[in-house]
Amino acid sequence: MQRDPAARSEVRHERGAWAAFREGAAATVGLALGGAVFGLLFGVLAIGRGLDALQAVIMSATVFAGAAQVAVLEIWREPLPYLPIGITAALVCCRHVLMGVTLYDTLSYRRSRPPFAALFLLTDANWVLTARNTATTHRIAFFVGSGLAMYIAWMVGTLVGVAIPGLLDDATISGLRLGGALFIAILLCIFLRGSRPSRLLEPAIAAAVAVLASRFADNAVALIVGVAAAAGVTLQRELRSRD
Amino acid sequence: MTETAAYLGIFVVAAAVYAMRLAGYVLGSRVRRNSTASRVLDTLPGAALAAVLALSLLEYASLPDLLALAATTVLFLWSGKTLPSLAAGLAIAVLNAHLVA
Repeated sequence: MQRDPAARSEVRHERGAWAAFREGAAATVGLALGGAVFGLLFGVLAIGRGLDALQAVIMSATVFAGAAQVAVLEIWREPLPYLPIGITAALVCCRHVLMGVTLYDTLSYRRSRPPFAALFLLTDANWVLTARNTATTHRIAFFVGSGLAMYIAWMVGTLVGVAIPGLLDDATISGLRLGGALFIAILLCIFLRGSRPSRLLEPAIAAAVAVLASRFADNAVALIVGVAAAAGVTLQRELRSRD
Repeated sequence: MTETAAYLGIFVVAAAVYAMRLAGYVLGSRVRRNSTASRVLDTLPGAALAAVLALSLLEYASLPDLLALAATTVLFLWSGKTLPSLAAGLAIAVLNAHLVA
């Protein structure tokens, strides 16, 4: 018996999506180590700041943003300053706004409503990997597979971190702090790999201006100033190319 | 600190971070593809990553930390393998922290 062509097309689509999902998860395995180390570090630091194990695990499970979580721990004290905590978390994650903008076409594919659950999985890692993977038509499945792999690694890292705070000495914890920077360096390499030399200008300007601005302002503000400077350079180049 | 206060704090952090993730998507729906605005926006995440990295290094990196960063970067550019590149950098950083301590 012949099957409905629309149904066959749907089955092919689902198989392709599943393959892209697995491809995304597989592509993230290496980066997931960084996520696990960062999660471990957060777990250890959270216990040190007075959160109990359950609270630390729930924060990791519901926030899923290492840099923001570590940043708010710095101001986590009695009584809790809710507004500064919220503003700090938002500023540290403001780059997610930019990432969401660039992923709109990918995440809105075949959808009329925003993919609320998929957006929760947005991290530096699956954003970079998805932005670079233009080969598959099922990029949202790739994105979700990559995001879930990071989420699992992050949660495993957090669970280990809250379970063994006494087993890691201060020197090891201090060394592991660099894990976040190493992780971002790899992401930057992936993002810029194969780019024209002229595309290296914006990241260089953003870094230089942010460092300069950090002498006069908080790091979160300096980050925005650096990115704004890079945007200005790109805009000027775009406008010049039109003339 | 009461449990309620702690969980409320966690909720505030979760809501703030998710709002940033959703805001990008909503903003993206209003930007036309291949417009000047979209080309500017395409370059910004790379700029944001570079700025975050520079600020992190400025905050706490020592010379051996920069060596760890260089080892990770060079190894990754050479091999394309994330796991050994990250492990090598972390090993140098932890070893250095123990030597300093």
